[in-house]
Amino acid sequence: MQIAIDDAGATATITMVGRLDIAGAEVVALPLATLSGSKSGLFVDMAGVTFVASIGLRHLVSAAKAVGRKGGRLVIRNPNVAVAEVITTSGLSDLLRIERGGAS
Amino acid sequence: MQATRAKVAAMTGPQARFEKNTLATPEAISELTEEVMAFLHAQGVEVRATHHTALVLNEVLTNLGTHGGCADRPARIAVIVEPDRVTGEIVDNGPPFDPRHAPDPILDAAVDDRPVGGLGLYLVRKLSSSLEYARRNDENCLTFAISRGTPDQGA
Repeated sequence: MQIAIDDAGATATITMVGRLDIAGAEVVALPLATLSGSKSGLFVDMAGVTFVASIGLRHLVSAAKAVGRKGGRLVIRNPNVAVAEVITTSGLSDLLRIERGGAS
Repeated sequence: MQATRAKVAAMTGPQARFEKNTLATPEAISELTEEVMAFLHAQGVEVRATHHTALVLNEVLTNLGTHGGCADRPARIAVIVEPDRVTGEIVDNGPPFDPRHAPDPILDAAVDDRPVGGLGLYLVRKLSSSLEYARRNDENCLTFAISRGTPDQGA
């Protein structure tokens, strides 16, 4: 898992590339926790994420809750069809809103 | 430390087959995920079926390692590509456990009350088109299928 962060404004964009499995979750855990505590909104570009496991969702949900407590949102951008299905099947569509086509 | 017992047999053809004995450690599970996805991609399996096959293996093995207490005992993995589905088998010698009967997470709770865990085996049950369990010879034998045929879309 490789990540790039743009945190120049009030919101931040995290671009993820690779697999959000156990190893990938370790990579994103700290940045997600830090940014969700300091920013009013988070965009997570998942166009380059080829796999997501429940442990990866767990970190996204924790970050979404933290941002939500401040009135903000966590938005998932451009997940592939399989990753999007995992999010919706998990019943997390309201917490992890999916957007398509939005540039970061 | 050798994370996996490397016995990979990947065959191609109408029913291409992947086999491996793997430990249920985070490193070995991550390696298996990568190998299975590469195998299915090479067989021309769609993004959805490739992902969900790897997901079922990942979640069942993670559960075996964290709750089954047998991360140090290799499980036998097989994946078979069929024209209309991908089937998989996981055989382990951990304590008897039928993931079909694991409790569902509470998905309709308020956002702040929504559990951050407990989704793994729920996804296994929901994304599999069939899921069968048997206890044979003191081993858990789990077989599953993921339907193919959903056209790839998105990135």
